[in-house]
Amino acid sequence: MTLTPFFRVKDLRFRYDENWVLDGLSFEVREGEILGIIGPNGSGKTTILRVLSRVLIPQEGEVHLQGKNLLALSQKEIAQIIGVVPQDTYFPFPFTVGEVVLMGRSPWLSNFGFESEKDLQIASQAMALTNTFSFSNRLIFELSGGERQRAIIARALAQKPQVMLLDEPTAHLDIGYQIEIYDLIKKLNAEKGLTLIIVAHDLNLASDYCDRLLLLDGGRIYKMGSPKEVITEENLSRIYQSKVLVEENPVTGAPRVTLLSKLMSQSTERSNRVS
Amino acid sequence: MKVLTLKKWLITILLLVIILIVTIIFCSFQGSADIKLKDLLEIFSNSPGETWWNAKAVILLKVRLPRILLACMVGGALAVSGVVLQALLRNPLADPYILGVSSGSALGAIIAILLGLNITIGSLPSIPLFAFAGGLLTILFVYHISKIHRKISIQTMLLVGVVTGAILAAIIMFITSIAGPHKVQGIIFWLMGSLSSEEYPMVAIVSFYVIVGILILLYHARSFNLLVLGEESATQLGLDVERAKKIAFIGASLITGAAVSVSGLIGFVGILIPHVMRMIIGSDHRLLLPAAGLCGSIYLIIADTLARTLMAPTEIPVGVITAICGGPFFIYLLRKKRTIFY
Repeated sequence: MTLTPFFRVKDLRFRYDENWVLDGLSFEVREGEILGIIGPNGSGKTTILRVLSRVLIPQEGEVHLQGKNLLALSQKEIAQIIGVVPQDTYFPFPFTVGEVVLMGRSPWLSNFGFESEKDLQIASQAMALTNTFSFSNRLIFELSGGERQRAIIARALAQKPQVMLLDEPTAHLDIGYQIEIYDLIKKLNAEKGLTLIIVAHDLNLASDYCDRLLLLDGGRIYKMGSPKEVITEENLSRIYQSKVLVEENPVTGAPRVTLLSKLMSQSTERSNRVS
Repeated sequence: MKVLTLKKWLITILLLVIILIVTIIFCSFQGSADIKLKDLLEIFSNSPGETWWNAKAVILLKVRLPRILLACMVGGALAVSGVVLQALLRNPLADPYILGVSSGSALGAIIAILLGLNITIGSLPSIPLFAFAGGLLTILFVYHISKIHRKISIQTMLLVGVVTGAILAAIIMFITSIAGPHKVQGIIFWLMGSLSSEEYPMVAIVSFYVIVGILILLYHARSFNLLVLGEESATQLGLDVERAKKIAFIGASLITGAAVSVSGLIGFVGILIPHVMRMIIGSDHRLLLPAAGLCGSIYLIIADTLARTLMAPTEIPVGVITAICGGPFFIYLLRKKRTIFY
């Protein structure tokens, strides 16, 4: 069976000012996969998500969403297909969790007017899936980081999207919440058939949870493939300019990265030499 | 899950409309001339012509009522404008005057006072006309400077607005310092803000601008919920952000300009009412915007009635009342609700 790619990105180049942040990217995202985007700071990870959701329009190249040029779609049509979970959301005013999740229905609503029974139902389902229903009446800035991130995921789910883009969804969360968010991502993928593109800063989580990884370096694709193909000592030490140890995670079988301190590895080398 | 429904919307708006009407009626009978509710019945049941009828009817219908209606429009405009600009700038400190519209209007009015102009267009006096023109020019200036690559930058707009306001304020100070004592009095009186001595044609024109402006903003109220999330998230939720920003900026500026040109600078309504209403009914702009408008109307009508009756026949500047009554109440609310607010 040949699948039409969900996203097809061809020769994409984008710059904010003089320097190309994305410098000639071509890749495809398959329907139903979890794709992780990894790479050092400033390699263009977040910019890819912005281009895919058409917040930014690339100077060169094309993005096709389900076979259609992204530029031919309206912002509303895009929002009916793509849900985005930003890294951090700042709320200057007191909205309740329920109100925030219902905003996810916006792409399906006209200007004025109120949400229908069906909209409420979809929002409730999104909150049930993300385990946020119990605090739907609390204010969004009363929540802990993990609860808030789940509420924002619920908002994206309320869009009834076919693909969800997540920008470092666990950036400010402790390990318990990190696993919770990634388990939720896996569940959405398995149960809802949602395609997911995750900008990940934690290589081990990306390796454990993603079907494929895209390793970026300086706005170009350094390597794209399965975690085993991408997460190698050779690739990582070159891209991140640091010593790493890659071994197999005994539980998941995925590659596992251990960072090695430059100081400590020097001293081990020295002690090895002495003995 | 508690969410905004049509029923909740209708009940809240209806309740506020009733309070507004009661306030208008009640305040119409407050004042130095003693007019009672029963006089009203006689005014309408008796035929005109008798002298006592004339005096009371004139005070009620030609002095108090236009003033109250004007307070209604100005208060509503300032509160709605405050709500919209706070959402647009994502800043709880924003008020209708933050982008310089008020200073532009003030400069226009002061030029009219200084030149002693008596041009009227139609039946409109020159001071409000000049004030409105000044406000309009300032809006256009700030708007065009803030446009970079055909997009409005919110941060730039805030800075340009504040700086433009400061420049205009400096020019106003300069003019005031060199104007003769008689004219200075007129300038200061205008700057303090007042709702007195406006006639029906003026009230009608201001009402037109304010009501049309508020209806347009109300129609886009859900967009302002999304703007609060920031431009990137709003775009990703399907909003045409550039269009929403334009509507918010131009709509809020126009109703502010219309209000300021007839009332001068009445402070506090535009920042106090939006926050108080958010604490009471929440942040959903579909309800917040009209509710704040109605509440702003009620608040300014009461404040203006106090201003003209408390020390009658001397009139207290209405801005003094809005700040002295509203400020402490606001601080009280902040203290009481501070665990869940901001």
